[in-house]
Amino acid sequence: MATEKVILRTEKLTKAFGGLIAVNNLNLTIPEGEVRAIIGPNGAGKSTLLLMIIGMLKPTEGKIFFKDKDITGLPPYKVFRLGISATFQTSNIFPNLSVYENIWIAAQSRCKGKMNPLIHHRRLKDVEDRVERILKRLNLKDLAEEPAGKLSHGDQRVLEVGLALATDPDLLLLDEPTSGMSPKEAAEMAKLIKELSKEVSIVLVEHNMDVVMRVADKITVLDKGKILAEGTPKMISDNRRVQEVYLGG
Amino acid sequence: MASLTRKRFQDSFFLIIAIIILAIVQFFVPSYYRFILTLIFIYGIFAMGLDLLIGYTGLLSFGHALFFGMGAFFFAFASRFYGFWPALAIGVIVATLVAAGVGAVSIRTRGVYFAVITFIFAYVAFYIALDPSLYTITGCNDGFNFLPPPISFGFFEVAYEPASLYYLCLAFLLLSYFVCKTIVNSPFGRVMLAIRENETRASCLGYNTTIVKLASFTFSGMFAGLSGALFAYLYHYVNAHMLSLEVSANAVVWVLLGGPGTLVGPILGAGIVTLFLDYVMTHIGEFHLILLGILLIIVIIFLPRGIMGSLKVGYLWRRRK
Repeated sequence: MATEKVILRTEKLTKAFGGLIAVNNLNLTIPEGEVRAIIGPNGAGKSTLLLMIIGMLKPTEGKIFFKDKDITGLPPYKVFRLGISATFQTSNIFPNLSVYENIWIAAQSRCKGKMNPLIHHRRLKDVEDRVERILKRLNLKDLAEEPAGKLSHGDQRVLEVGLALATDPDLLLLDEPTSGMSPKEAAEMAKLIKELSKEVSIVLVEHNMDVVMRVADKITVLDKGKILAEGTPKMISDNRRVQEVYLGG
Repeated sequence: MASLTRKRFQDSFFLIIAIIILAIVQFFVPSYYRFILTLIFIYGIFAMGLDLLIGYTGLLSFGHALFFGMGAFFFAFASRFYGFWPALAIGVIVATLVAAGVGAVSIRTRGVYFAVITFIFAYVAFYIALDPSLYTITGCNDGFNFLPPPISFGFFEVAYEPASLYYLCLAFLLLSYFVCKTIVNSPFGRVMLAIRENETRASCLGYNTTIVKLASFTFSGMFAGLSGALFAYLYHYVNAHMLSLEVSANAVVWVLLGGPGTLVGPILGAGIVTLFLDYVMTHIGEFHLILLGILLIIVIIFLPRGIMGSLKVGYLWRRRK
């Protein structure tokens, strides 16, 4: 424990919506370099947890630490500046801009002069290289000039991962990246996540158990806002209680 | 990148042709149309500035008459004491500051609420300007005339006459165009587009969208103020109706008709609407607003991206074939 660096930690994190407690006193510790899958039935509090981490929801109680820095209650744009990046449950792209422009905007966000109104955006250093690298890596090169909104659903999800990657994050939060994908697309996404896991810590919220089993180093099972079980994919799939509530006996 | 260079070359080619035509056309048209063209240049500045907000940042304001009026009134007040340049600076600065203040409050809301709150600000200012107790200051419905200050360039002065007004306004239009073009092509401009497309995503990439929205609101208010000051100079007259909803709405129509997000389109829109209204009012009379409404509906149904926007799409489509 002491030898590992922690990338994300929550401390007694709680979110209540009126009487409903979506996340209940959650203590989560994710070491650097890990792919952590968070699974659980609908309403287990997975999305609420993610929204609290990125600052879109304020926790009722508790704290969130990113690399030992307290980020509880920071607005989203400040959280994302620290090196956290995310993809969302529904496609969240810039639909009328080209794929290239989409990734450009993301890549620019980590640059000095990202808000400069007086120079041409092409003069920002290194952004072009980074955009090209990401297009190549995600196989989006042929689609670079297409408006993002015209892409297939699967390609839009890949583009979203591209947006998240272009900000050069240390921690990547993926909220159901394979939802609505064909099995073939989902397999490709799993391969991509596996590849990315070599460079960046990942928190993956996912329903597709094939994907989870293939990519996760460790799985946290949430139920009613609490941790039901935590362990390696093997331990989790052997766990009786998890099978009861989630894997369907 | 070769296509980019070619596109830039084409753009500057068209631009130079347009500048040459505008620079000499005033010799060949009756003096009345020279005046109308001067007016269109002034409106063009307003429209282009508003396009930064509507077309690029995706915020619809129905209150920009407020900044137009502020520019006009403070230019008029200041020109009692100062020459053209200081008066212009005062008009523009006051309009910009008011825009920053109104913007800081309005951008907390979104969509329709944003349009409504900007409208309310302008509406309140309009009625304050109409208040009889302020008659000695604003002139209310009557407005007031003032002596237009000559334009001094240090060692020589330009007389206040139609041709110099024409070139003055053309020069300001071109200057504004280059400033707007620089802004929209800048990294800042990319973030404006990102906000128009998906504000949540923009903030989830680490951009402070509040600052960007406020800045683009203020920029657009500044251009409205410049336009208002030049308008006051052209007529050497101001009145409270420059703050009215009709002015705000007209500016929105220029942008939507010409093509939001194209800069040149809104200038074109201002030109078409102004010429159209001028024609209708001299030849048909009464029904000018109804006919303008019909024109707008036709354009919105058949050219939803406005005139320039549709031309652009058509051009890209043909090139891809």
